[in-house]
Amino acid sequence: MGDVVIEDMIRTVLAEVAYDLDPGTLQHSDSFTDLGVDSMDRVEVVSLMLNKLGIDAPVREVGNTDSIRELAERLAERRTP
Amino acid sequence: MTALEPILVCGVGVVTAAGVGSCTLLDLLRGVDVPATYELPQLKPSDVALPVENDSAMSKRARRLVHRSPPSVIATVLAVTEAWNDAVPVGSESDPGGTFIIVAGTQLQRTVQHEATLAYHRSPLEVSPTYGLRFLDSHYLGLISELLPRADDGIVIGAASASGTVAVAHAMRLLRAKLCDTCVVVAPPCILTDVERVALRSMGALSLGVEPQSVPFDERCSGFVYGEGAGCLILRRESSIVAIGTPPISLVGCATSLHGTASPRPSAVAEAGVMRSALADAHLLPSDIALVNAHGTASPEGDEVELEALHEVFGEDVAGVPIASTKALLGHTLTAAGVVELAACVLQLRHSFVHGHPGIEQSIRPGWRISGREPRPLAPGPVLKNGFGFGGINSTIIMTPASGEK
Repeated sequence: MGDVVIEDMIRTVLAEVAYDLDPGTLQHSDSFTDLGVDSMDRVEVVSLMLNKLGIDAPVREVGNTDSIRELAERLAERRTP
Repeated sequence: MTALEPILVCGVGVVTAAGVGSCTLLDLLRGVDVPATYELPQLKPSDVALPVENDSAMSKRARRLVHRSPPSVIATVLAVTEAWNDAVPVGSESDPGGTFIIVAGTQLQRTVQHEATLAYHRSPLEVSPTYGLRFLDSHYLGLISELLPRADDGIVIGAASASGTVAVAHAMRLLRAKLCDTCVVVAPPCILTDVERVALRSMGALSLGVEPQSVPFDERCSGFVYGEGAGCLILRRESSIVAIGTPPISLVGCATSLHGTASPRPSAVAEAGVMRSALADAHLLPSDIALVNAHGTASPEGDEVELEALHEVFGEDVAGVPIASTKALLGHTLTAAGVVELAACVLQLRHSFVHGHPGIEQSIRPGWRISGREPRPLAPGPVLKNGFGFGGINSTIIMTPASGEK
């Protein structure tokens, strides 16, 4: 699974978690801060992604990322081949 | 000594098995539209698309707050929104004085806790981080303070099944002491999981029937029937009100007490005592009371003890006093019962009637004026409302149709 697939998954999860976000308009380079996604929603997105990808790592170890692309990179690094 | 300044009920909001809003509860009380269940309708975030004419900013906040929220939060937001719009004159968003929020009830997130525990046992990864916020009852304080245009302070008050009436008593005390100008008393639904239901059934508190009917003060009563509801009352001191549309209902007396037991056992002496204290607080006599809205859960011991206590307070005149328990229509809404049933009292006073007990067949006090199956007209007068809880908790609130009127 490449980063692009993970990026699309994040986009779908983000649109579910955050209030009033249109997944169609989300860019992978968008900053979470600029999108108005608060810290609780970010943590929720990371948690749901770890769960979906079966990555057994605490949310805090994925760190504080500020875009879909950056989060996808971190998650890809974490995946066991 | 003169009576203390009355506290006005300026706004009422409810969500019950009858549906969303006071109109649906009024129909239920009138016996027009009695639902087959005591549980809340299946609420979705999209149900908070209600038009909120005088506060579009508040309605936007309401929609955001219920995003991905459980039905209990949705019901609470709907009740608070209705009460606020009932209380605040159209066109004015803000409230002039300090606003204090009291959340009535504890263990208000049992279903959320239960689901998180099940998720944890599947895999700790499945536990949602937001559970770290939501497992605390005080989450409702944050939620309601973000929803309202103004909120200065707040607390959560737990008193078992008396939570609602005890919360209202403390609201009256805060307002009388001028510690705030508006008190928003909110009772979120107390939704039980199977774990609590099993325990309450085996301790003999919950009725054993498969689809039991809630029949307070009936020979067939065998325990309370679980019900769900949310309510909100907006209370203000009379002097802080400039103009209000609907005829005011006042809260004129309150009393709370403990009788020193960790058990569920009620005490007729303590119940009579708390009713007398509330009457003294209101500067009223038992003969002034036009209606008793009983705690009346349909528990054989609880109902019997409450009627003994009423006999003690009212003497031989007790047989002439109209007595009704709103649990006959809503089941026992637990920590929300006091607030939801006080809201029902407001509606009955506004419309001059007392609701019926649709399931009653044989009253345990033949000859007393315990509600029959049908609603009856009632000349408005002071209403005495009881709320009792496990752990020896007793409370009484007294409400009158309008300030000065007895």
